[in-house]
Formats: sequence, C-alpha cells, structure tokens
Amino acid sequence: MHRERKDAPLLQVRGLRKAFGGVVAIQNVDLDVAAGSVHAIIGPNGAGKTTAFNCITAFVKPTGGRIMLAGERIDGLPAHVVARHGIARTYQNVRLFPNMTGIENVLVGQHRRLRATFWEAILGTGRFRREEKEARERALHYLDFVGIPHRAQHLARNMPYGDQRRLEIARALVGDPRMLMLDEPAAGMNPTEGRLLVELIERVRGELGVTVVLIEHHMRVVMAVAERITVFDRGAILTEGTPGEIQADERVIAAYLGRRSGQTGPAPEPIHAVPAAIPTLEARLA
Amino acid sequence: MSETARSATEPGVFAEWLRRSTWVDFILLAIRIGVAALVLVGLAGGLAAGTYSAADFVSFTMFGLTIGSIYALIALGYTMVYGILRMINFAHGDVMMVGSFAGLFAAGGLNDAGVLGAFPLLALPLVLAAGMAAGALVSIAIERIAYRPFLHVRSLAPLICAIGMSFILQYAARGLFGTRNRAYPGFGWMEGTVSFAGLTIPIPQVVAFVAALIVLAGLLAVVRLTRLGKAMRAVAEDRDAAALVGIDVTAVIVATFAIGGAMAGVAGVLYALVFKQITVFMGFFLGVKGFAAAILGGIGNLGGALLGGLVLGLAEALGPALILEGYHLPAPYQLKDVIGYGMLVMILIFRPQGLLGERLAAKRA
Amino acid sequence: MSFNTVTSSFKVTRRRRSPLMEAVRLGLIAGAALVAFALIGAYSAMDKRAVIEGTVTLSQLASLLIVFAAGHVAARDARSGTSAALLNAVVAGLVAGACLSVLVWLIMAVNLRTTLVAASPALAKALSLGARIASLEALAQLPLIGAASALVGALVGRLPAGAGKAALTGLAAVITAGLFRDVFASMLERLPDLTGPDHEVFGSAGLNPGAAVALFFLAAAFALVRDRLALKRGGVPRSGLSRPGLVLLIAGVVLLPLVTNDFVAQVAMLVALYMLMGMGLNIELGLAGLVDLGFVAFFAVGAYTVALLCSSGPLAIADVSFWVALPVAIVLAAVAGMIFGLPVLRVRGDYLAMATLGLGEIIRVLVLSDALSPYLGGSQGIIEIDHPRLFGWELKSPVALYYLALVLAGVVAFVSLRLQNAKIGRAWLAMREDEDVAQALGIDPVASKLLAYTIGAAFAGAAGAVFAALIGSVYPHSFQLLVSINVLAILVIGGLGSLPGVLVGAIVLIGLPELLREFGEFRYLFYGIALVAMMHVRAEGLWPAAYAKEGVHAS
Repeated sequence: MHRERKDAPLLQVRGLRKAFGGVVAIQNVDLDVAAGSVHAIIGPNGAGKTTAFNCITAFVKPTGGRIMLAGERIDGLPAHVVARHGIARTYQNVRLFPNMTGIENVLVGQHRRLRATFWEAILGTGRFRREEKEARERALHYLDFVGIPHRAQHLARNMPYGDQRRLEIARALVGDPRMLMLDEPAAGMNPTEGRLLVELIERVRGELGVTVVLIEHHMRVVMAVAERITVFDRGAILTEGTPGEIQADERVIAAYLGRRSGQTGPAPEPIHAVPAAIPTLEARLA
Repeated sequence: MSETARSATEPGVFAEWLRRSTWVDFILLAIRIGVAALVLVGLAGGLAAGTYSAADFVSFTMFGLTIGSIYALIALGYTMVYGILRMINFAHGDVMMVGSFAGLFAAGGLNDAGVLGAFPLLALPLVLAAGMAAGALVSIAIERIAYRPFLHVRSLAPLICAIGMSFILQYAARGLFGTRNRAYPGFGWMEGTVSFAGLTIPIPQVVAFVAALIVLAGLLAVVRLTRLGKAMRAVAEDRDAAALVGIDVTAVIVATFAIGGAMAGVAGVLYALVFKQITVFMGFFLGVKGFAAAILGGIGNLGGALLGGLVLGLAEALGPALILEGYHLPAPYQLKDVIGYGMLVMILIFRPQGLLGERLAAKRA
Repeated sequence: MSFNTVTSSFKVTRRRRSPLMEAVRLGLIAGAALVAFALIGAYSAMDKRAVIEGTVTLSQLASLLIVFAAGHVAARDARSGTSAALLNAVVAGLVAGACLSVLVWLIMAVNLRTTLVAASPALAKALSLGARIASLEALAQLPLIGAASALVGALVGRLPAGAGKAALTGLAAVITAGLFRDVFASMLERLPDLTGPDHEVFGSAGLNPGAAVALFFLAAAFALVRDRLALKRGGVPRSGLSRPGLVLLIAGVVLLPLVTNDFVAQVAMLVALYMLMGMGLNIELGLAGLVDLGFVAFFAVGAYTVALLCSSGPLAIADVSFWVALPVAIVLAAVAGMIFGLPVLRVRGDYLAMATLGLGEIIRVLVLSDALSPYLGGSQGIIEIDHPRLFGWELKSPVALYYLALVLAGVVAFVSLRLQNAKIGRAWLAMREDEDVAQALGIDPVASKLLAYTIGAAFAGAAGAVFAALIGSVYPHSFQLLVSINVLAILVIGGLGSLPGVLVGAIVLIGLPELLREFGEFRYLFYGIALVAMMHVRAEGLWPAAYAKEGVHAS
C-alpha cells in the first residue's frame, strides 16, 4: 500500500501538444512525476522545456493533451485555479514584483492561505490582526529558509541576482504547494551558489515534503539532485531515466551536440563525460 | 496508467466547456446573449414598425458610408501607430481637429485671394494639402513629446502624456481660435446634390467618400511599394531587429506619425465639408470613434481600418432607425453614439483582434 | 527579451551649437512661449489681476518669469566664464522680447483676428505697456525688459547656492501672496489690524509695493536662517515636504475655511470632493493599475441617487433624509462599479482606457437623451434637492458641507490605508507589477480587479452624493469626461498610489485654479501642460508613494 502511494504520480501529463500558429513547440509529451521526488527536465535550448512548464502552469493554453495533478484534471483551467491546486513555480528570467520589498513579495505568495475578508481588514478585527501577524512571521521564516533573512525590507529590484532567485523560491514555497516547478534555478550561478541550491532543493523536498520539478542546464546540479531525468529534444521527449541511465545514453549526447552536425568527433567516454562535458559544450553551442 | 487517466477520457464537448469555464465565462456568455437578444428584438420591432421608407434607408446608408470613410481615415492613424509602437495615440482625434482648422484658414485665404472663385476644382486639393500638412506637423510634435522619450520604458507615461497633449491641443485651439462654431466656406460646385441610379445624394458626401478612397489607396501603395513602407512593416514586425539591420527606427516612427497625422488632417477637412461647421472640441470624440473603427477592423491592419470605419459608420447611421426604433424610444438618433461606443466596448471584450484580426499582442491588450 | 540597449545606443547625439546660437535658440523658445501665451488670450485675461498693486500684473509676471527662466538656463548651460554666461542670458532675453515686439507690430499691421481671436488691438495695447500702441518706443522696450529679466535670472543662478535659493524663496513668497490675495486678505480681516489703515498689506487687487518688498526680504531671510540651522544640525538643507509637512498641510486643510470667507470654503469643499474621488481612482489606478476614464459615471450615480431620493421636485421617487440616501448612493455606485468592471476585465492598458471612456460616455448620452428624461430630467436635470440635516441643524453653508466632505474623506482615507496593508491591497499591487505572476500565485485577477472597481466606485459615489447636496441640483453637464480626466490628473500630479499625493494633487489642480478666477479659462490647458511636464520631469508625482520611488516608469 505504502509503496503504491509513493509511486502514484503526483503529476501526469499525457499527449501534451502546443502549437504557436503553425509552429509546433511540443507534441506527444508524456510525463509522470512521482510524489515526493525531484524530477529534472533537460534538453538543448528550444527543445520545448519551458513551453511544457507554461502549459502545466496554465501560462499558455495547450493545444491538446491532458494534465492531471493528483488525479484531477487541471489543463484548461485558469492559472490561479491551477495555483490553488498546489503548483508553484519560478521563472527562467526572475519575475519578482520589483517595487515591493522582500517580505511583501513573500506575503503575496501567501494570498490563498489568508482567510480574513476585506470587511475584517477594514474593521481591523482580531482575526485579521492575528492572521497578518502570523503571515509576517511565516514570511520571515521562509526568507530565512532560503537564506536571505536580511532582505525582508529591501526592494526586490535592488537585490543581487542570487538573492532574487532565492526570494522567488521563498515566494513560491510560502503558499504550501504540493509541487514546486523551478525554471533554470541555477542559471547565472557560480559553483558555490550551485551547491547551495542543491542543498536548498534537497531541504525543500526533505523538510517541506514538496515535490520538485526543475528545468536545468547545469549538469552538476541535475545529477546531484534529480532522481529521474526527462530529456527533451525538438519539442518531444527523447528519453527518460535515472541520472545513471541518462549519462549512459548516446542519444542524449548526440542531441546536445546536434545530430546532423557531423563534427562530433570521436565519441567521448559516455558515462563520466556527460556531466562534465555538457557545460563546456553549452558554452561552445552558445 | 492510473485509474484517473482512463476515467477522465472523452467527456462531451459541453462537459468539457463546463469544466474549463469560470464564473467570468458564464457572465460574458450572459452578456453576449443579452446584447444579441436586444439587437434582434429591436431589429424585429424596427422592421415591423416600418417608420422609414426604403429611400430613407438608402440615404441613411449613403450617410453611413460617408461618415464611415471619415472614421476610416482617422482609424488609419491609430492603426499605423499601434502597429509600430503597440500604443494608442490618445491625441489623434485632436490632430484631426487641427487639420480641419488648417483647412478652414486655407480655404479662407484662398477665398480672399479669389482662387476659390476662379479655380474651384483646384481649391479642394489645396485645402486638403493644408489640412494634411498641419495634421502631419502636429502629429510629429506629439511623437516627439509624448512617445519618443518613453520608447524604452513600458509604463503609463505615454498614455498620460498623450492625454495631456490632447488637452493642450484642444484648449490652445480654443484660446487661439475661439469657442464659437466656425462655418466652412462653400466651394460653389459642392452645393446641391447628384442623382445616380435614382438616388439623390448631396455632393459633399460623394466627394468625401471618393476622396477618402483615393487617399487610402495612395497610402496602401506607399506601404506596399516604397522603401519607407517596407521599413515601416519591418519596424512593426520587430523594432529591435529592424534597428539591427540598419533601419533608422526613429525616422520610421516619425514618418508613421506624420502619415497618420496627414490622414487625420484629410479626415478633418472632409468632415468639415460634410457637416459645414467645426469646433475646437470636435476632435476628441471623433477620435474615439476612429479608434473604435480601428479596433473593429483589426488594429494594425490598414484594410481593416477601412472596413471598420465603414461598418461603424453604417451601424451608427442605420442602428437608430433599425434597432432603437423597435423599442419606440423618443428621438432614437440621440442615441447613435451609444451604438458606436457600445460597439467599441463589445468588440474590445469579445473580439479584440477585430474583424480582420491581425496578430493581437495579447500582452498589451 | 529585448535589445533595448542596442537600439538606445543608436541615439543621435545632440549637435553642438555655438554658445551664442544656443542662447538665440533659447530666446526663440521663450519668445514662442510668450507669443503663444499672448495669442491664446491668457495675457489679456490675466492682465486684469495685479500681483503687486499698480506695478506688476499677473500676465506681466508670467512673461517675466518665462524670460527669467530662459536667462537662467542660458547662463547655466554656458561653460565659459561669468561674463560670457551673462552675455548669453542677455541675448536670450533680447531675442525673446523681440518676438513679442514682432507680434505687437504684426497685430497692428495685419488683421489677424479672423484666424486668431485674441490678436486684438487690446492685446497690442496691453503689450505696449502704456507707451503709444506699436510705437517705436513700445516695440523697443520689450527686448530691453526681456534682457533685464534674463540677466536677473542669470545672476540668481550665479549667486552662491544659499543666497540664490533665498532669493527664489522670497520671490515665491511675493508671488504666492499676490496671487492669493483674496485668501490672505480675508484671513487678515479677522486679525486685529496691526499695521494701521495707512499701511495695508493688500491693495484692492494685489500686494501693496511696500508690503511686497518687505515680504520678499522676510521670506528670503527665513530661507537663509532655515538652511543655516539645518546645516548646524548636520543635516543637508532639504526641500520638499516631509512628515511634519504633512501634519501642517492637514492642519491647514482642516482649519482653513474657519479663518477665511465662504468663497474659499466653497473651493475647499470642491477640493475635498475631488480628494474623495481621487482616493477612489487611486484604488483602481494607483493600486490595481487599472486606467479608468469612465470614472465620472460613478460620481454621477451617487449624485443622481441622492437627487432622486432627497429632492422635493417632481422627479423625486422618495423624499428621505440625506443620511438615508448617502448609504444607498454608495451601494448603488458600488454596484455600478461592479457592472462596469465586468465587461472590461478582459482588456488591459490603453484598451482599458478606451473601453471605460466609451462606457462613461454611454451613461452620459443615456442620461441626456429624451428616452430617459422622464426619469432623470434630461438636460434639465433634477432640482430642489434638500440639504442634509444634522440634529435639526441644516448643513447649508459651504463650511458645514466642507466638513461633511472632509469627514467622508477621512473615513475613505482610513479605509484605503487599511485595505492597502491587507491581503487585497497586496494583491492589487502585485497585479499592477506583473499580472501573470500574480495569477500564478493564486490571485484571481478578475475578482481582485472587480473589487478594485467596486470600492473605487463606492468612494466616487460618496463624492457624488455630497456634490448633489452641495449644489442642490444635478445636471448631466456636471458629469463630463473632463471630471474623469481631472481626477486622473490629480493622481498623476500627486503621485500614483499615494494618499498624501491625492491631497496635494487636489489642492494644486482644483484649489489653485478655482482661487485664481482669471485662470479659469486656461485651467485645462494648464492641466495638459502639467501632465506632460510631470511625466518628463517627475513621473513619480509631487508626493510619491513609498513603493513607487521610480514611479510609473518602473511599473
């Protein structure tokens, strides 16, 4: 019984398809994310990873397919309803509320937790005050959780980039999501920051019990945190497996190098090479 | 696969709609049905009442086409500027007013110089040219003051500046030209009517309609055939990419405002020919109508501006007789603006891409 | 994604002109401003008001200030030494004055009046400043006066910072006292006469010359002393308003009508009404970021509700007390806000501005139409609205109604503040910042926008109710688009999202033009210029909200 529960996927995607005009961004995407797991999505630029994210969080309307969260269909619902089902996300290029302070950003993240009505707010009832106080404490707690307690009163737009990324994660976590979706959380981070991020993701899963799905290019981060990896290529799923399986998969390496380029040279030692090689390959491809 | 995946297979279309809809969709549907019912009931009542003869409807139609072609000319300015900047030039209606006054003074000057009497056919192009020049100049000034400084920031600033410019134009004109209505001088040959296929139409209406079509054709030729037109389409497509391939984006934007302003100037002169009187406050609400026409046709689409203008003109001209009459309202013509503004609101809500919808920047809409 | 940096690097750098050419250019700009000022009729209208009795009229002062500013800028921009800078200023002043001379000559030589109604001989006479109209003397004196004024402007700029600021403060004090003679004179009337009948501060139309000189030096000395004190305390001399400034301002607002006459009280009453509306629109635009140009419709709903419920005229449907009608008016306005909000929820930004404008106009056209006139009176409106009564005392005087509006404004400000710091206020701000992200955090954008519309409309409805009680009648004419634009301008000038900004904006845009009656005709022109200038110079408003330090640019 217990095993089945753990293995029952929290997120199920079936036959997801999205076309922008005539351009098919993704098609035939099937994805299962197990509850309580850390699931990474990798793939070359333009492979449709972020489009899949946007479909799941209702930022864009999928053209076809189904999305289910804990057995309930969520595709076609408006974004705020999807959020209320327990999905929180961050963005590839950080999207905070730039003119609000750190704590205000996190308070907005608690929107759906707060119960006091607007009449109670006007009258300043006891429940309203208590709830506001709790919300502030909770906000500070989550700022602390992601490691930026000192940023509470700073305007988001004045924060350094790394802290903005953390603040974004705090804002997403504070609403008690079932699933946290991170879009390239390690982008622009140095190795030390990357290690801290890995730690943070593990605490999110371990201490808060939140399922994590992440898009990431930094293979060190992916290999360190992910239990399963899905590889996207050209708008479809290339393969899926454990980090070990993915590292061993020649198709993945080929996808990253560009299949028809013909200039891959001699195949590198597959298993160990991928994590180390890919960042440099990225640099070359970019 | 799990139970749930299978159990949720193939619900009916209605069930699927129901699942996806929120209360907003229900309300919007209710509004749709309500408006459609209002129009249909009014239409049935209006046709049954039979207050107007067929000849009445023909003259309404002609009038609708005339005012519609003027709306279309105004709409062009909105559509061109929107296509390039993704912003609405709020002061555009007042550009039209300025063009109208420039035409008035040009006509007055020509009259004093005796040209109006001697070469009545030559006078009209000259008056139109004066209106175009004034419209273009004011429009360029608006671009310089209200839009260029804010080109790279997404904010309310251009909208507010444009509202401010609209006020400056209206009240400066009021101070300069006075508050009273100004009568446009007649061009001898324009008095009277023409008979065509059994219809009697006032000449100014014909002139306005034909002039609008000629100007529009000229504009389309410019946009389709010239280097400037090509550059304008490139900037509309992607301003940054256009800059990278060496197009002088600022110059293209200025040219766009200038052409839009010239079109509004033409509209101002034609409006004055048809209605004989102008005031400094006429521009603003005609501008809103022009905007409605641009939206109706599909903003960013030049042909759409023409279509939208004509549809709006016809709706305003025929609507009171056809629909409002059905409710036996007193003086239904007082409510023609309700039809115009109502169409604006409805189209914005239900089909913001318009009739010939070009790609709508949903983010901005 | 954008290549902003790329495109902005293409900006053409300004061509370098020689300093002299730059001075001529400035002079021409100032001259164009002067000519425009004269030709729109503002010169003639404001010439009737003296700032300093028998010495300087308002229009002369305004003209002098334009040239003064040009001289100041010409001297500041000159990179070379003092004498060159002063020369530049003189050139700019000469050119500006010469523009006016040309205008005077043209008015007398050519008949411009068929085109430009203000270009009358009366204008030429006023511009000839007492000399024979368009005589050589009259034409020559304008450039000379211009040069002198520009020179003074340049010199003030060259003074040591403290002294320059003191001089400007003195000037500002004299101008303020002269302009608002009526207000100050009416206040002085209530004080014991200290100066004696021979030394009145105010003449019949402006400051007396002696008083003006005294006031100038007093204010300048005050500015000097204040800066010294601030420096001694180690602070930086600061300008602008602060928390004590706000307290003073509020105290002034509360006490003002008690110490002046009914006219001032009536103006204050209007300011309070616009504050009410401003706080309503502040919820919609300042907090939730929803542009609303149909705002006046809610004001109209409030006013018409009170009119229908409290009138003793033929159209009344009830004759109840104002205190019963007020809540009904607020609720109905709120309902109207919700209905208004519903259809426009799908549109954003500029589109929303147009949609709300259209809706507002639909309401106005309907009220004016014959179709509804049996119920709402059409263009005749509804008359004979009873004044509110409080404990048997009829609130009829402007002062009493002013305090009624002020109390309502206080309540509304309190509610605004509470909401701003609650979940819904944060949701509004978040939506203004980034609607998509806010929605992804579980905020229902439609519900929050509707709530913003509803609450904003309720506030406007309260304002409308008081308006009806104040005027005693309502006409469709009172509910034009201009009212919506006024409220928008108040917010923009004061600072979007800022409650003290609403107060400041209402005083500047409603109070001042009402007090300067000669100004009345040109107030909308002034609004237009103020809106444009504000966006260019200080987009965050006079009293910006704490979170919008970079104002609308940042949103």
